[in-house]
Amino acid sequence: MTSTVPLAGLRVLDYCWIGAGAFVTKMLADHGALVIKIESRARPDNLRVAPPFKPNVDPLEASGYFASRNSNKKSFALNMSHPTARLIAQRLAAQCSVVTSNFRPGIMERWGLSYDDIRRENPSVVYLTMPMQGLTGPHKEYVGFGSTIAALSGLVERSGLPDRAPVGTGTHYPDHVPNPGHGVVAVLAALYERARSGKGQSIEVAQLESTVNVLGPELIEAAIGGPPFVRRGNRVADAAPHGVFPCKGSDQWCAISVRSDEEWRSLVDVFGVPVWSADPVFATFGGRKAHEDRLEAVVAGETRQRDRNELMRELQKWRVPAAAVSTTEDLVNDAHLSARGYWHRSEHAAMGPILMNGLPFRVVGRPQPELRAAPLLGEHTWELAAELLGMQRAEYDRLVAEQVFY
Amino acid sequence: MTETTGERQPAGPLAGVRALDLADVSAAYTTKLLADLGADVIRVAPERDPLAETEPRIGAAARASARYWFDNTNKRAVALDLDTARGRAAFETLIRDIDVIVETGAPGSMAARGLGYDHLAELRPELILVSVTPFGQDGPKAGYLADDLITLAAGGLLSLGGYPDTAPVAVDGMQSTYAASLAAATALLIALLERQATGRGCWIDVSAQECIAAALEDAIPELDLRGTVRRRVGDRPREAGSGVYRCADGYVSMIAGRVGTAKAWSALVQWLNDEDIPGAEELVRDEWNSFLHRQKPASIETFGAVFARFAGARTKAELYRDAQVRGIALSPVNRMDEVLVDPQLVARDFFVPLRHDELAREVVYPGAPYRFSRTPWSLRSPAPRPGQHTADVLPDAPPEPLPVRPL
Repeated sequence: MTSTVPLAGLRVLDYCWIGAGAFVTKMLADHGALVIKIESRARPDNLRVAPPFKPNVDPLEASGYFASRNSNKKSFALNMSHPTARLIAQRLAAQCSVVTSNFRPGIMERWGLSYDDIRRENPSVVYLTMPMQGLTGPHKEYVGFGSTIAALSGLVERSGLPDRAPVGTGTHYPDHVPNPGHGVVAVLAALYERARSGKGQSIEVAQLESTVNVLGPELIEAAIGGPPFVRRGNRVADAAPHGVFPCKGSDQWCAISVRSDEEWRSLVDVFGVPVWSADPVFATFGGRKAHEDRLEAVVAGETRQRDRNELMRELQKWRVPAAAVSTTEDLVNDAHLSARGYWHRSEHAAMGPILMNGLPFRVVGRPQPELRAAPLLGEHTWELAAELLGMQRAEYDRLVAEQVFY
Repeated sequence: MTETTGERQPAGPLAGVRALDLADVSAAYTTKLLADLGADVIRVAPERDPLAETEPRIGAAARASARYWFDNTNKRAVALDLDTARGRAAFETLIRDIDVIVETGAPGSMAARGLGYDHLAELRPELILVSVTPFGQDGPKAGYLADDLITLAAGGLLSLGGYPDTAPVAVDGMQSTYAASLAAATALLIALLERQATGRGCWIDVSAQECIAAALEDAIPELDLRGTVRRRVGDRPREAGSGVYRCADGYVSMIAGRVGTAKAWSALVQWLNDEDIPGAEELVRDEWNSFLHRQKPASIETFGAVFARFAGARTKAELYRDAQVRGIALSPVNRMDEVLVDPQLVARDFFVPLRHDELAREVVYPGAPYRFSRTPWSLRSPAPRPGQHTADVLPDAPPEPLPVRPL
């Protein structure tokens, strides 16, 4: 009951590069799995060369973005363009419970690392692929990023103001939530089943299909033939006011959500029962919704005079859902998150101490798993070659010299 | 309503797992994930289930909730009021062969009913209790109230969304509920795997705020390494060639200049020149190959003007097809009705029609978020009516008689 490494003993051969896939295997590594990240300086994982960078550090070891996605993994430097590397990868695959990749269709096949190749030696392997739009279909070769998948899925079009261009989340959202989330759920479910049946299988997470699932209700609504959707900013059908209101200072905001009349009366009380609140149109939800422009203007008139955090505290005290809009700086200094021990400082071998998000869940009564910083490129090649392949030092040195281990 | 609408399929990977869903809208998707993978999930809610009244509402007089339909496929439903002694007694009977409970009550509310983890674990040591709340079980904000917008604000994603000249704008579709649900499902599956070895359950505390704070892309390392607070940039591209651009019939989204995609930028410039777009010749100059140059406001402006001349005369579909031929990551900004006819999704038989007997019609649902080769995901039955299976599930311990709702 005191273990913080519930996945100890699980070996993962990881060909997930960039964003979404790397998050899947990070979750496994953070819970104790041995995740062997295959990478090479011959063609580095794009995330290793993605900003932000720590200054004056080896350029392949300086990416904070890479570090944020690769904690607790081990790095095995393997130059896949070399035929010998492919044989070594196949030997590693034979010893892993899970093999993951997020390349375009055809790459793993070219390396002799298709599901069929691996399961011949290792029939109980769980094999995850995360192609953009799937391994089949007319668009299987199409290229994309999180933001273009978000656009395809309908998420972008629905987010923003009605009279402005749509904006989505402002991030490559599918890379951060639906795709890593569905990917890790799928692998864990397959491992659960495997423990009972002894059998493996392959899993395909097409990033578009995964992302459409987080718009399930909206898709059903469209399928059933509802009225056309019009972007609506922060408004929703069942609450008013429901928005982001300006507070004292520059670019300071508080989000407020009022559904019930009771919450409305509390909001008015917190504002000191201003004169406008006597207007009978505001007394009911229907009235507030029907006069939402005016409603938002009078509420903003009140919030402008307040500090966003004081306003949040006061509203929450009176049971009105509200939160100051937190920037990253606010989050890092957030007393609540600190009290929960959310932020971690990990010691990175090249960058020194770096700030890491903790896991968003914990087992009550147990310490949080340790977050060891991301590996240096090839940091564990020798260790793993000796341990898993029984390799002698002379052979290792030769493979380094031949730039197979590179 | 029929129990099963499809043909018999092989069982999903979670067949045999039994779960109770006590969650509100903030985490009901957790147990949809389990149910669609074969678990037996029983939704436990009052007879008037608040989830059945959440947006988006559909149909005549808005009597149904598309969210309730989506979140509750493959589940059974029991009407139980945990605030009554009889309801609690029935619940204690119910949990004796249950593996997982997912609940979203305010911290302390389960314990206040006498149904805290310690008590439940005495009755059922193997139980995995998953508690999903906006701010977690402890800490100074543990009791704070939140909905999706408040969670996005507290977790930081709202600060990245919207236009620089207006208030921040939240992403649509209650995305914080998916972030929390996917984390909750991850946590409980890890606990189930561990239980296979130890035989013991546990109590899992999921904070939706923390789930959102983990979804901020490079913004945390950006602050940590450069001291820069990332802010919303809205509809203005961050770099020439990357962003949302207007075209003849809407918008397209393009990434043609990110690190590692220099080839895509060259292909884009070639395309504009092949089509003789005025001003495109300027983009051939060498300095444009540097992303530092492409990130200058003047470059973003110059490129935007050239691309507007080009895209303004072309449709989303034309741009999508022709860009992809050239290896450029460009996609249409689809409306939901366009997603329903996306050629790729249609060709892969993604969408699943599900018979709704009460409507005497089929309704199209999103298909599998993942495709398993041996133990498939499946949609077997639509969401139950609240309380539909009370008599089946609790034949020996009926709760108090319930008033019949008028149709």
